[in-house]
Amino acid sequence: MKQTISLTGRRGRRTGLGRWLMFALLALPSVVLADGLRIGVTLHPYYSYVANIVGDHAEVVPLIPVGFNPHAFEPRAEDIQRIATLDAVVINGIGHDDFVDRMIAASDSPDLPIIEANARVPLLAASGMSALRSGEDSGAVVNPHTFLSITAAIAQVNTIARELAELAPEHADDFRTNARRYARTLRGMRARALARLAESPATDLRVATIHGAYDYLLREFGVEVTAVVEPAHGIEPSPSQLKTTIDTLNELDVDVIFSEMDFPSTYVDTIRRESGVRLYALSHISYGEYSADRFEKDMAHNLDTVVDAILETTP
Amino acid sequence: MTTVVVEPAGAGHETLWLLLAAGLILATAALVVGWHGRDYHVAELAPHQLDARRDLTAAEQGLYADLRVAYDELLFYAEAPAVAELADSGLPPFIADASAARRGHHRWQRLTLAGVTDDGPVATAVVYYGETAEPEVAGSLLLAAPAADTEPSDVRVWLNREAGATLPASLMPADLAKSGWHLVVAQFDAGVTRERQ
Repeated sequence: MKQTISLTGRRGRRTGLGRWLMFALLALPSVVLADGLRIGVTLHPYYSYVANIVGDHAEVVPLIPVGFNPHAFEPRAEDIQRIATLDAVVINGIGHDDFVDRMIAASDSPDLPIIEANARVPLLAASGMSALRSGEDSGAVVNPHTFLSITAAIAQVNTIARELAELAPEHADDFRTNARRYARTLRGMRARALARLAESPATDLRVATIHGAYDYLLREFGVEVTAVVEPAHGIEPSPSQLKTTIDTLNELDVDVIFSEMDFPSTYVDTIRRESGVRLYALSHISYGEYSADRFEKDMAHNLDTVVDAILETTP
Repeated sequence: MTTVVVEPAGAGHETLWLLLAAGLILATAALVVGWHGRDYHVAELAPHQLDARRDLTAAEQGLYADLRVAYDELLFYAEAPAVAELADSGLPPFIADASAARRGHHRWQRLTLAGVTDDGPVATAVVYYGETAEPEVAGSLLLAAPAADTEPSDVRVWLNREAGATLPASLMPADLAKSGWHLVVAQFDAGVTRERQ
């Protein structure tokens, strides 16, 4: 259900001066209100998406402070207070930012408009242990890492732009134009990466990933993930799990393992040493500073890395 | 003479109480979990439909995602552009790139078929037909180009895994089913793990 932007949602900032300003602003055209838009985001890629869509028309506000791990984020009081200053929040909504519901419910703006970025993305089933927990139905748990893919990113950018256009109709044209331009930029990145594979034969590459986050990305190359090592993100496998993993990798004759830049771990070296499989590190785009070009930079690295892996393992 | 019965040393009673307490805790936990647990419901699909998450190959899932994004882009055009124009603008899956080579080598054409809308049959409908060269990797695909006043949610993609798939006589469901075409459906329901559903 769509909700309109209302200054009454900003209870946390009301002061005597604030009341005066509110009356002054209500007397002005809505475009003035829209230019004060504050859009919350939960993860780094969404910061980049929204920043590229809104341009100068809104401020993008991360809900997770720099340096916190989104996989184990426990909001503090000041993080929850920040919710009341927002006009809307853009979320992954399929398992990577479940904390946001509790934050909004506990805030002074429990009815804050929420934009479900993944509402129109065809989702993949989760891989790894989270999939095993779901029992026989391989699609019972979805893979929430849609933000680590060009196609799924564009689908989300389109959804976010449409929803923001409804929230601030006076900027709808700008949002649509910006979103389309950003989508074209992202498509260009993918095209450049794939062009490097033009001379490479389309062999059946068997791939394992340490974390079950890269299915969406690899599917753009026509590559399917054969095995996922990690029991859960950041959780190291036990020695017996590690032995089983190495045996499985050898049995499946895996060609490439994709690990993570932000989670260097000695057990990954053990896997490489014991299995003899080449290892390449990808970015999860979930750590460090927020910036409008962060998604492009990290995805350029990811695309180049996948292409390098394919080229170096193709006979 | 006073007789005092001395019980043998042992932990029989303690063990019994401990087991009872453990059983009670487990039963309580099971009740609480059962009380709070919720079944997720997977929407029943019609026989002519395929679930994008469960029923497609990896290559088909990638192509389907690309077609949905392509549909969003097609909404900006007044008329459905030629395949060459879409390829020139870098729009997957219409480009003959390395990804296309790994996902079934589809040959894309823009065609006109007898169409159908919510209001009934229409004279023509523009479709993009991707004929697969490797049906075991990914089936042939059919994307209905957006008509006037359509929304992003109106996207319709059909899949046919038969080698040498034939085009349907029209986009009427009966004609599509008769020719072996299945409507691909992406569901935003089961498995979506957020509490607020």
